[in-house]
Formats: sequence, C-alpha cells, structure tokens
Amino acid sequence: MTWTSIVTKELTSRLQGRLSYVILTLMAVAFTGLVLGSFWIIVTSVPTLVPVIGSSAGGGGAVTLTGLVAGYRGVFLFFAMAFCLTAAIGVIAPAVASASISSEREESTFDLLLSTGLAPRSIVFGKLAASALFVLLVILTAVPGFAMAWMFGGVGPIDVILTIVLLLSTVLLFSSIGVFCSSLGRTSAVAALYAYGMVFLLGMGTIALYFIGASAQMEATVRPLLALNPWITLFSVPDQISGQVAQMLPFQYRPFLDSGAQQDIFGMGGVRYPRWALTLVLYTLLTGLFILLSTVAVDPCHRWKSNRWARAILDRGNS
Amino acid sequence: MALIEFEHVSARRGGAQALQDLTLSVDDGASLGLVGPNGSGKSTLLRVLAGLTRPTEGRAMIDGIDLRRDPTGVRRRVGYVPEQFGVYPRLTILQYLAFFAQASGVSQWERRNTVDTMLRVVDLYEARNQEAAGLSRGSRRRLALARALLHNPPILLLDDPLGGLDGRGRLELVEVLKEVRGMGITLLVATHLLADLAQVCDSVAVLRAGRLAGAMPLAAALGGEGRGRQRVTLEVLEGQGTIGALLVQQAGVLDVTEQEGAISFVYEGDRAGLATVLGGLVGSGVRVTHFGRGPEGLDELSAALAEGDDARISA
Repeated sequence: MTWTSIVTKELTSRLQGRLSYVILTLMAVAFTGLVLGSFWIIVTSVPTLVPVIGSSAGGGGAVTLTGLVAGYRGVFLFFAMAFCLTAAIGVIAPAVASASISSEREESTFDLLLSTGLAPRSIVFGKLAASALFVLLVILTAVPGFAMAWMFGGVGPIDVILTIVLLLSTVLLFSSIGVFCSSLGRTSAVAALYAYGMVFLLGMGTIALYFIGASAQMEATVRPLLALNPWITLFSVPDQISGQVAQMLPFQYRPFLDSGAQQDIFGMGGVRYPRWALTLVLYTLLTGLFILLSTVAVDPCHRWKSNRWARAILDRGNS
Repeated sequence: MALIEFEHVSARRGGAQALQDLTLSVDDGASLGLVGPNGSGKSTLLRVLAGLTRPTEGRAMIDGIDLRRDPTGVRRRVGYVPEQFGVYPRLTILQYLAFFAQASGVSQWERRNTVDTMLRVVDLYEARNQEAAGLSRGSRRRLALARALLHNPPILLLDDPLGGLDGRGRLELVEVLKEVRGMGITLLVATHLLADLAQVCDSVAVLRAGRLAGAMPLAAALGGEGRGRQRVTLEVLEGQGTIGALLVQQAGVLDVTEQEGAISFVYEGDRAGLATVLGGLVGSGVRVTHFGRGPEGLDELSAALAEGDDARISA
C-alpha cells in the first residue's frame, strides 16, 4: 500500500518541526486547565450533600439542574470534556487537513507527488490518514483529563465506547472536509477558509436550519439535521440524563438534548434510530463523498473532468 | 518502434490554448530536444506526456497506454522533472528519495539499493544526510533527476533542466544527463538553448504557438553538419579587421561574420581541413586565443527556428 509512504512522510515532516510540539503542549495545558476548571465548577459550585441518583433524578417534578449535576458528576465532567474535545477537533482538524494538498501546490511539490504514479485515491487516503492521525495524536494529550471523570464514576462503558466512536468519526469527517477543501484551494489559507466555513455550517448552520424549519411547521422533517451537528449528537449518548436536562429547557430547545433515544428519519414514521446512529451513518457517507470528490479534484486527467461543469468546480486547484 | 505517439493533440493551460493539433512520434531510445520561445507549448507538451495535463482533443499514447484511459499508468512509465519544483522541508536527501521510492512502488528490499545508486549517479551520495531544502540550485536539479529515475521509467521528461544554473552546474548536469542517456532511456528535453544539450539530444523538434513547426535530426539542424558543414567561432588577440580577408582565402570557409568583436564562419570539410585553416591563420601571424565549434551556432539555430526561420528548419 504505497499510500502509507505519504503517512510516513507527513508524520516525519510534521514531527520534526517545532510547531507540532507547541500545539501538543498548548493542547495539554488547555485541557489540564479545562479539567481543573470543570472540576472546580462541578465540585465546589454544587452542594456536597447531593440529592443522590434516584432521589432527584428520578423524583418526578423536583428535578433541578444542580441536583442532576450533583448526582451525575462523573457523567457531566466526562461529556463536558468530550464536548470541548469536539470543539478542539473542529479547530485543529480543518487547519491540519486543509494544508495537506494545497501546501504541496504552494511548495511546487504536488506535480512530483502525482508523477510518482501514486493513484489519486492513494494520495487522498494518505493525506487523510496522516491528517487524522496527527489530530488524534493532539487530542490524545487530553485523555489523561478523562481520568478525573472516572474518579467520580457513573460513566458506563457503552457511553465511553460510543463517545470514542463519535469523536473518531468527527475527526475523520472534519479531516476529509479539510482534505477536500485543500484539493480545491490553490493556497492553504483559502483552503482553511473553506474548511472552517463548512465546519461552521455543520455546527451553527444545522441549528439555524433547524430553527427555520421548525418555525415553518416542519420540525419533524428538519430534526434529523441536528444529527449532523457533532456537539448536539454527543448529548444523545447519555440519553436518559439528557432527556431529564431537556425537560428543564424552554420547549423550542428541547430537541437539542432530547433525542428521546429515538430519532424519526425525516418524518418517516416507524423508522427510528438513536441520533448518534444517524450521525454515524451520515458522517460515514459524507466522509466517503468528500474522499471521492477529493480524488477527482486532485487528478488533473480524471475522466469526469471532460465535463465542463465538473472541471469548473473540481479543477480549481489544478488550473 | 514509437514509444510516444501524439495524434492531433490539443491542450489548454491556465485558460489558454497551449497545444494545438499537435502530431508527434518519438521512437524508443530517442533523445529529443524541444525548442521554442516562451509560451510555445514546450512545458505543456511535457505535462501532457507526464499525465499532469489532460488533452482536450486528440489521442495520446505513451508506451502503449492511452493517456485518457489510464493517466496513472502513464505517470508510472514517465520520469518528470518540471522547470519549477520544490523540496519538502525538514527531510534529508535520503529521506526525500526514500519517500519517492516508496511512493513510486519500489519494493522495500530494492529501495535502499536504488536510492544509493541514484545518489551516486547524481553525485549526492556524500551529502545524503543533509537537508534537501539546503541544497544549491544545481544540486537540487540533480536530486530531482535522481527522484525522476527512481522507478526506472522508460521515458524521462526534463523541462529546462539547465535554466538558472551557473557554468559548473550546467557542466555537472550535462555529464549526468550523458550518463542517463547511456542507460537507453527515451529522453525529451525542453529548452530555450540547445547548445548545452547538443551532447545529449540526437534530434530536435521546434514548437511555435502550440504547434509543431518542424522536427529533424540534430545534425541536420546544424546547417547540414551531416554533410561536413559546421559553424566555427574564433577569438583573436588583435587585428580583427583583417581576419575576414584571411579567412575567405582558406579552402572550405564560407559565410564569415563578425559581430561585436566575435568572429564566426561556416566551414565545410573534415577535421584535418579545419586544422589547416587554423594553421593558415597562425602562419599569417594572427594570435588566436579561441578556435572551435561554438555553442552560439546551436543557440542561434534555436532562436531562428523558434522565430519562424523555416528555411533553417528544412535545411
């Protein structure tokens, strides 16, 4: 598999620079601060005499947010960190991946790479894998912080596995968006701009579209759009707690947290999945789509480019 | 047997028509110099050959592979050194070549040997642990050549390989190219000036405005050198004014020209006759400081051909 040569080269090249260590250090410091901050908020701001699980959480109308946090400190800390980690992925992955191909163009090495005879899909796979691995390396620095959540307990192994899978699929999607934008952009700055725009659309655009749809009496139709939002999807993992928190929110915000563990697919009755499952399916499809489009975009002789429109859109980086 | 066959190929680059209805055939083992002014389509032709620019029309077959159907297959059969290229920062020469060898599909057990061999061919073996980004322009060109040859391609494409190099850099690279030429690789070299590549190319194709203006053996392009005719340049210490009269008295000397102190003439005859001409000049008391076939002949030819002097093309 010659695409592994790209992974080796990219990681060798990246890890020989100082910038990587600066990023890794900053990430470790930021997450240490975040963990300590969350710990301080959760432990010191919440009454120590907790209304324990089952009393407040399951006690009908007497449920309060403070009570829930006190009852599920570990879970709240765990998902607060996962939420921040997703934000970190949203910042780091587009930046790293959007430079992957456009930087080759900027440094006049892309033609050399193509002329090795590596298939364009191998180039895209290699760039995607290298970017995703680097992002994973960076976010791994945050893993020790999760130990604090374990200290409190209450996080089930299924929740941990689901969260890891969601984070990985988010890394892959954001990296594939970055690689796609990089394959279109003639400069890394332009590619990064495109990539951040698309991540912003996934984050804020989905919420805006949801509100627009909901206000047009199409709430059930647009609700699955929320599955494209990685932050909102995280709430669907600890579904019982999220459902309880949702009951404390104004009505129009409840669908963000209350996926009800079940999700209608575009209003089709009877076809229901948890939001995270829909997210995984959509992210896999989108990642595949971005890989395919990137493959076409990096290949200057791709047969699709005999079409004028495909050439106009996907040949921007080569023109 | 033709290794490269272009039939009515057209291609665009940067929004402009760069190649128009170009038909060209290059035999296996040939060494072809592509000459033409800026914008004549030399670089685009090489890019099409390298599978980096899609032809908009026509049929391009490279080593039996249709470029439109299998551009990746074409890229695997071609070594390409562009005019402008970069090197990866922070990689040593060895890491750089090892990466390209792996990417080109050179097997793991052959990789080290192949890289070492290429480093020796281009005389960079001793510098293999230096950062590639720190190399001089000439050394970078040699490194690029080594990179292009790693996967043992049957075709090597060089875009202005000597551009921007100083005298020593040119000489070193020409020596390497002569060595490469000896390997039996089909060579296509785009250049403004054929002079430095006269020892490497055996034929020349002239491009003008994206079209093929003509193609011929290099010997024929040299004004009928095949018939024993060549342009000779001459430098003397003093008495330039009288040289013309002296030269025309010598047998075989034709078309004496003097321009800005540089004297040249066309000589028709064998090497012994040329030695007699020199002896005649020295015997007449002329103090000769340089006497020989000048590169100016080739460069003049390149310029004339590119600018449309078709009389020279058919010579």
